[in-house]
Amino acid sequence: MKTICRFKFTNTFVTLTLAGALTSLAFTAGMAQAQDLFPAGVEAKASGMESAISSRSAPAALYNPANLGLEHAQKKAYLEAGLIRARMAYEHPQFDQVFVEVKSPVATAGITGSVFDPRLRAALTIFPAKSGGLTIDGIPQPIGDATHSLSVENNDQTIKTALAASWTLAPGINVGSGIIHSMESRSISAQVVGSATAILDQKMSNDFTRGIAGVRADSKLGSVAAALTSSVRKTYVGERSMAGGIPRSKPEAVSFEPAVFAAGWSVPVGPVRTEFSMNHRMWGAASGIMREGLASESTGADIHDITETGLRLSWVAIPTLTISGSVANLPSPWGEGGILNSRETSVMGPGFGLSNGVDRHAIGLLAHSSDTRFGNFDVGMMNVWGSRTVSAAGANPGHYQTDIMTITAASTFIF
Amino acid sequence: MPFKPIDCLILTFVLAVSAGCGRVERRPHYDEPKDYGRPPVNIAPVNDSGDAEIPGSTPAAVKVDPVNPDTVVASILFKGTVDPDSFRFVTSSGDLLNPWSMPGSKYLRKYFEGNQSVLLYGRQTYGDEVTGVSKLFQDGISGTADLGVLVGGESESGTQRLERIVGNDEIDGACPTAAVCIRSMLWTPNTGKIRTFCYRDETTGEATIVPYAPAPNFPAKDAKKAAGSYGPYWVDTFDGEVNCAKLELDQTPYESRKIIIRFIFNPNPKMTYMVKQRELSEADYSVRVIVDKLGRQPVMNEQPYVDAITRMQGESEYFMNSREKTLLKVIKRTRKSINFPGDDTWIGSLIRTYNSLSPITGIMMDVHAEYCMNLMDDTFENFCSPTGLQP
Repeated sequence: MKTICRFKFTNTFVTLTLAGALTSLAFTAGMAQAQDLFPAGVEAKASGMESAISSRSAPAALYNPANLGLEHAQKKAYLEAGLIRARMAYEHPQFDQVFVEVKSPVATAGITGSVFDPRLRAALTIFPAKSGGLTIDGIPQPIGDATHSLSVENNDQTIKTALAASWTLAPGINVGSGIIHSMESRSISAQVVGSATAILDQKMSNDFTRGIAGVRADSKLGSVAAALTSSVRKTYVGERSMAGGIPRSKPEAVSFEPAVFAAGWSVPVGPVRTEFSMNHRMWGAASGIMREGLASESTGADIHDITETGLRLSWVAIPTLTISGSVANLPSPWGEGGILNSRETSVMGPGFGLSNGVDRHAIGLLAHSSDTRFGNFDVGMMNVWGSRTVSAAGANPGHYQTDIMTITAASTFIF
Repeated sequence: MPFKPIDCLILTFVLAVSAGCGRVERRPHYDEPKDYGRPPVNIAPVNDSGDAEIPGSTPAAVKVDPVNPDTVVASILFKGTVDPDSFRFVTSSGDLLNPWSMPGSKYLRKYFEGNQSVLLYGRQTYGDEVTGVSKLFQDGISGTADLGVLVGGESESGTQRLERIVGNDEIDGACPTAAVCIRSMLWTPNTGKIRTFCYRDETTGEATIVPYAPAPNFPAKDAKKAAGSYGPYWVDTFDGEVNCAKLELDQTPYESRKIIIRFIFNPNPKMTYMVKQRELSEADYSVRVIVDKLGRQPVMNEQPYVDAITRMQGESEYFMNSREKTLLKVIKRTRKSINFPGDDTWIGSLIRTYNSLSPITGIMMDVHAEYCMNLMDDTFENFCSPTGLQP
């Protein structure tokens, strides 16, 4: 079948990234995208994953505050800007393929430096993870016992702000902690194609805070790092109206961000450094918490713990230039959803637009040059891709594909 | 030589472009034809009371040659419980034709799968290869009539009746090969006004016929000829039942719309073989019929709702028996044969169509019809069944 698809942006590029809007295409508001479509900072992107060992400068406040101990004592600004091209496709067994491609700027900004004591480093980081609007003219969604093609308009904004500090216990040993504050707001409107009446009109927002703590040890033999980020259960304020239901009511969606244990080690051998990263995301705790809250008022998700792994090789080409390449494996925590044997009601499964709805592979490249006119200058790229097929018994059956390409550059300079 | 940031940028860009191309396949993942989530609607049992309405949708393309009754055929498979003896064709004049008394009826056979189907079968012929104009439908049913009135679809909302027709030299306008054309449509809602939909040529304003649905029982090479755009046409909607061919001066439509009808031919390159089980070969294609109301853009994945899009899909599966082993091997080896060379090389087909609704009527309907054709003679086992694959 030939596929026809159109999409359009509905807002201006006021904020720094629109790509996150993709993640909200999962019409199910309860899936309010606990995992970002892409990590903050060029180092993490070039690693293909969020990394406790690789993250540097201001973005380290989001993934391992202990890494701030590696930063210069002078106050430095970190500015990252890049472009992302995200492609996602979904084909329901009974509908044409839905294909969306978005090109958008991405960015991260922050400052680092020593405060009060030479052993104390602090960082403030701002990371717009999502911001934008998107209209899809027709996406199949189960409603009741039938699947309907819905026209969806969505606006989504998530801005993460991290405040973190590290303390040097001894030369080469740093500990750090911080808080990550998320401001989320989204509006979504959906109607059955061909119908003039919206079946859903919902606005929801709230602020959430997570804690993060980490440790890092560096020696001539290598480095080890670990970080733990707390989980958060997300409920929202706002209002929703559903056709045939309560005209105005509170959003019923409940989302979740899991606790993450991240670790990594790094070993230098001559001019080559090998880094291994691991993130254990404890999604299993969300299985009894998440609630889609639109088509279903019941709580439950077919989701489980996963462990992401990545390997990165860095080569010091010349004293002022380091080139690295990385690969990462990012499994999806999502099962298929639907009616599970252990439950009598349908539970959430992956949906279109979920950044972690499919098992993904990632590759990353980074060129790091120091002492340029822009200070330390990094250029990196990340490509993440994957696909899966959810069977007819799943909550949202169909074939899903994801391909995300990011090219980005960052400068760290003293001010 | 110091390394400059621009060098990093160029290097990374080149690597990124080379690494990140084409991860998302735009090809369909599922081979099955889409039915847009609409469950088939069982067609009610026929009432052999002389009622001029026949349950079901567009019957198979048939040709009856009165001179040679041995080539007669009609093959129709209705879902639902049907008494085959009660099945009748109906002409536009309302005459009932009993297929069991038609020429060649000795070749008409009954086939039952439980009590849910009736199959009449015989030989199939195709459209005019030279002109591309179909001369099949109804010709043999009424002997000389070129049109008939059939139920196009039933739903909980009402009944859609089609004045079905085929193009021939005596009819203005041409009905493309492998298409079912209609001259008018009568919508009889369960509640509300009866309405008639007439079609006029956009340029001349004269009454014309319009392609309505893909015709079943055509090999892909013929069905492909139907691909293209037709129209624009004016669709005039009248209250009550009117004769579109003989409108009175005081009969004015309460609404007129302009449409274009597009036939999109989609050959399915995948062939499956079940040689061990049934010496069965399949080749299929689909024809999607989209009715565009002019000035309106079709919308992705749009359900065929009011004033929107009609999608009709036909799928053909062709069957072979042991006599065609040689051909089957050739096909299997070359894997190129959705284009069967002619009517003597395939011996049966099952066509499923999903006629979701007519935007012209403005009413949503669900119709699922299946047609089965089997050209095997009486020494062979019949492969046709409601599933199309199992005896």
